[in-house]
Amino acid sequence: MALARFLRAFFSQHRLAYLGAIAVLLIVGVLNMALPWWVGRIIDALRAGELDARALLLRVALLGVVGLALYGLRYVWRVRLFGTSYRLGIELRDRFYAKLTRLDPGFFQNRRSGDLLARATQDIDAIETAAGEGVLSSVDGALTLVLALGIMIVGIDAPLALLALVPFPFMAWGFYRVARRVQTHFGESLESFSRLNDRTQEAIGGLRMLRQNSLVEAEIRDFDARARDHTEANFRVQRMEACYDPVVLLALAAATLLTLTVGSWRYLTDVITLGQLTSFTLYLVTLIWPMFALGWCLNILQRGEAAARRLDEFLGEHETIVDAGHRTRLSAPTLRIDIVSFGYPRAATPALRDLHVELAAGRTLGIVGATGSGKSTLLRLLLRQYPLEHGTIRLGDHELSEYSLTALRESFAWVPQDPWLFAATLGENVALGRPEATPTEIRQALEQAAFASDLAALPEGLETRIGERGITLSGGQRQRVALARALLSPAPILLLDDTLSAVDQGTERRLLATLAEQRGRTCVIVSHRLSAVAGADHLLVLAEGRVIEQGSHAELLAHDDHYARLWHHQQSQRSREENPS
Amino acid sequence: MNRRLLSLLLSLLLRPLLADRRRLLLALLVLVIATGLDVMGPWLAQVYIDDHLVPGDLRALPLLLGGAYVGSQGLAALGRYLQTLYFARIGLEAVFALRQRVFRHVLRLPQHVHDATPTGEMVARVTNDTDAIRELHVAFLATVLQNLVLLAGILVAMALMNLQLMLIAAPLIPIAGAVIWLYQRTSGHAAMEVRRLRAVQNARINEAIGGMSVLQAFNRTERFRGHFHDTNAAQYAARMRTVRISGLLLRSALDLIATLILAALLWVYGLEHLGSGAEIGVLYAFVTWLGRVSEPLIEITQRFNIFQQASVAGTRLLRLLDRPEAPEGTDTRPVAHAHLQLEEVHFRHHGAARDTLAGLTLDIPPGTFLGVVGPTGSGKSTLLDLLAGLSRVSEGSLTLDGRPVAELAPETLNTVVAGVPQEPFVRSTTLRDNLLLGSEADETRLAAAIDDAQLRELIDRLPGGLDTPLGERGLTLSTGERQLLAMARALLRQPRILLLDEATASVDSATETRLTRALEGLRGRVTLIVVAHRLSTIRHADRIVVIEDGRIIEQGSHAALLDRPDGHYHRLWHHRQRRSVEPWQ
Repeated sequence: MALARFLRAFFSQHRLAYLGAIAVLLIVGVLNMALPWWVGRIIDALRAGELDARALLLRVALLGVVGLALYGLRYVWRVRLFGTSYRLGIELRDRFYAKLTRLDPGFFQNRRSGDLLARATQDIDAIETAAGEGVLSSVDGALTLVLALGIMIVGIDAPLALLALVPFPFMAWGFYRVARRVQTHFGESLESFSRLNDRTQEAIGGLRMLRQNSLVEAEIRDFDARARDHTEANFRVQRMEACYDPVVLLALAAATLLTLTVGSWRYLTDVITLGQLTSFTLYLVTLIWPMFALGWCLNILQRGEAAARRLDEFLGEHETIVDAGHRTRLSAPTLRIDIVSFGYPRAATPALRDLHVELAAGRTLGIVGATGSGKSTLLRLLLRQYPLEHGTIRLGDHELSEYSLTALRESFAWVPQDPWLFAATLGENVALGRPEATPTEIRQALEQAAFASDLAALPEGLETRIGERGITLSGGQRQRVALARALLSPAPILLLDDTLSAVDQGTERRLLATLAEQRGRTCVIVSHRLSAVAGADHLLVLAEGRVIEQGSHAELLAHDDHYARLWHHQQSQRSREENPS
Repeated sequence: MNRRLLSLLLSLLLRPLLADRRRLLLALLVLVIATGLDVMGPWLAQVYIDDHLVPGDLRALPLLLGGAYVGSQGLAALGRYLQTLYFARIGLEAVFALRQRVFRHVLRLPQHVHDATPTGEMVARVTNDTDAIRELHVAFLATVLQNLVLLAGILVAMALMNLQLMLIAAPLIPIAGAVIWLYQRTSGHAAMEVRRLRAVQNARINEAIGGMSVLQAFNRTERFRGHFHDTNAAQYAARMRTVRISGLLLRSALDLIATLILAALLWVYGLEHLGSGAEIGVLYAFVTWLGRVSEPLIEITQRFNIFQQASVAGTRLLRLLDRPEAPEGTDTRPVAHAHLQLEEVHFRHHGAARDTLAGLTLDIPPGTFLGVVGPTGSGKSTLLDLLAGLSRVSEGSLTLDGRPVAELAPETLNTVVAGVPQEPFVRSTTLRDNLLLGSEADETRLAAAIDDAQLRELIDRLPGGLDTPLGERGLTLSTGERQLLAMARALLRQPRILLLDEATASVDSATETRLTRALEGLRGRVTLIVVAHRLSTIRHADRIVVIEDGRIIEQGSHAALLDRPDGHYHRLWHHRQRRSVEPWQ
């Protein structure tokens, strides 16, 4: 029972708040039950002619006072109960996020983001509802049921109660059945809605294509059919929901009829008074809620259990990178890479094999090779995004795992291949690695990253919001912003993942000049365009995870093999582009 | 909200409900009857208690009363069921009609409106906003109507039984109205804040999922965790405000009012019948009725936010429906030669300060290969949009065989002109359907188009060949592959005019060379209008036009343009040549 585990821990942590809320709920229940009984007493006294004006006023005033007390107490338990259960929501969401921060890229690659988002929102909501409304409906429903039954059976008349209450179990059963069916139909209706939504998205996104191919009318017909499906699915939900009212009405009418017939007999045989009969009818109405609460509570708990299981699974996800290192200082920005073999989880062949290279401080390593040859993998291993089981990577004088994750990450400024920008201002995005940077420094970094003219075109400069609710930057612009982010970061080692391949040649030259100015920084540059790394101190040529050649640009050209061939091919392609014959 | 907008809003929201008047009347009739029968229950009980049970007169009549009770309550239940169904049907049909209307309108809006609006936003108008109105029809209007009728029924029954007591009970309605009003005033803002912060939470989680490796690499996980906790705490505070407000004003307040009125009833009725035997049945009926009054009031109150959301959505829809649709030509006579002529063509974007195209004059006889170059933003893509009939000229004339392009029916124009865009669109269906796009071409023609567009290699690599599903739930193609797909799509249609907008920018050079050869094969038979960054692509064009700031600043063949030493094309050409590769350390 995953839900029980979550709730037990939470309840024991907030025992006082819950006990307080339940105590108030108890008092409210008792007072609520006392009201009909008191009304019955007043009616009986009136009928017997026992009351004078003063006595009547006192009795009626008491009714009002109890009403006021109920008002105050109801407010108190609502705020206490829901206030506490909403805290569970905060706690779980915080835990969820904290867990996200400890997971590696392999995890994110294998998950659909929509599915993760659903766990963070709907599943946590469902657990929270179980802790709030679930507790409310079970405690309050049970309480009302016990008190009302107690008064009806013990306080008024047992035979009357037992006969009049026969319809109520049927009502509960009816509620439960209806609720289940509503849920099934509701799921179908959601599905048809999402189909409608997907197709609409596609139609509007591809409207140019539809127009140019005379497909608009066909699209409208298709939309109509989907909209019709959704309408009918919705109608089925409504048809089930329409059953709630009749269930209440029929069960209550049956109970009232039974009350009046059996009640008449008990009245005529002088067992009960007319006032008691009136009270009894009022109690009947209060029993609707427990019947409903029963089905509702079951429903909430079922959903909560399913949600808790999914959340539990996520929180228990294996963390492959353990932050157990204790070194907090980097001695020197040097790298010594000795990889025997590395393979991604669930991959059949290793992504990297027999890679041995050393890089002194301030030197530049270029890595070239075809798509899928292992270039990005090497950068990911440096960042310790995946554990390296066969081989060692030494940063400064120590292995990567000897550093705390914070210290390790402080050593690298990384520009990923597909850079991610956050929904914030441009300035905040650039200053990610150094939040205290001044606007001048940020601007300077952007300028170095050849973003100056793009910046000038932005309406609010550094304050321009990007991402959702802001402007969208092109792929090349995003890469340059990510480069500025890395340049601004104080980290001593720069890792560029194919940052210079998508830019035009003029920009490439400017960026290469910028990198040349980064003296003192150790650089690892991945590129599939050789011109971007030709000036590096040392070059690795990768193919299918192996180093097939290494050396300086001049050495590799002299070697006249893969690199040289690729170089001449790219050069001629380039000049053909610029200088077609 | 001004009065005109309000009345427009009301007519948008309510008019569709009147579409089927007979069904609406039937629903109302059933509602009134069911409510009447429902309310009759306590009245029958009163008659029984006062006239039969208390006097001890228990002969034939009670049986009859019992029968009436069973009958009335059974019919009331049936009526309630039917009435809910009727109202649901009316509401759902109204939303269906509205959805159709909005979708048609959206698809017929001018292309520039779509270009300026994010797709997600437009989709939200068609689906989410109309869904908010469905909630209004199904969950709000019907409930409010039912509950109002029930309240009225109860009051009428009370009045018929005892006018004085009814007058004591009646203030419940205005008082409840005031409470509801107060609740709306105070809770609307808090509820909106809760929804807003929920959206922020989702955005932050999405961001964490997408950008976690960056956050980790830059050591910012703790900081972002802190931001997220702050959002959670803010949302908690907003939710607590809604809990406090509803705790003060909703169920507990209405229950309190009902209790106070019950007390008043007992007091007034009791004072009159002190000493003398009171008619208990009357009290019984009033107490029962009063117990049923607060529930409908609470229902109405709780559903008011549906109304608020629907009016926000409705206002957005009104604004959308208010935008004029793009006019469509009706001339369906077939195009004979496909001779394009532009005469002083101007084009200004909606709301822009200056012209994007400022007086283009071009004669493009059938079979011409025309190259178009110019810096970003010079109006090249706009020109192609005009030629494809996606936009209309603002001034001047654009004709095809002497007939204005704007007057041609879209179907007619589309059989002549085909385009290959920079970012081709792929539907979530099979590759074959993506190529055919609803047209019927035989296998040989399909194969020829695939070969010409250099798509064969890709198809051979795919597991399911032509029947491989693409898009959302299928295979994702790279930009270059999508450009080849779009090329095949266009060739399959056998157009007379082919528009290419940077259509091979993401294709590798070997494939591009082959594609260029395929285009060469079309040369002379098909008009080719090619926008390109890479000058090599259009070097062999019959004519090259250089556009800057919406004007043609140069035109001529490659050789002729290069002959002008201070020409723009000349500069562009030699500028590119000067660049070379230099090591940087």
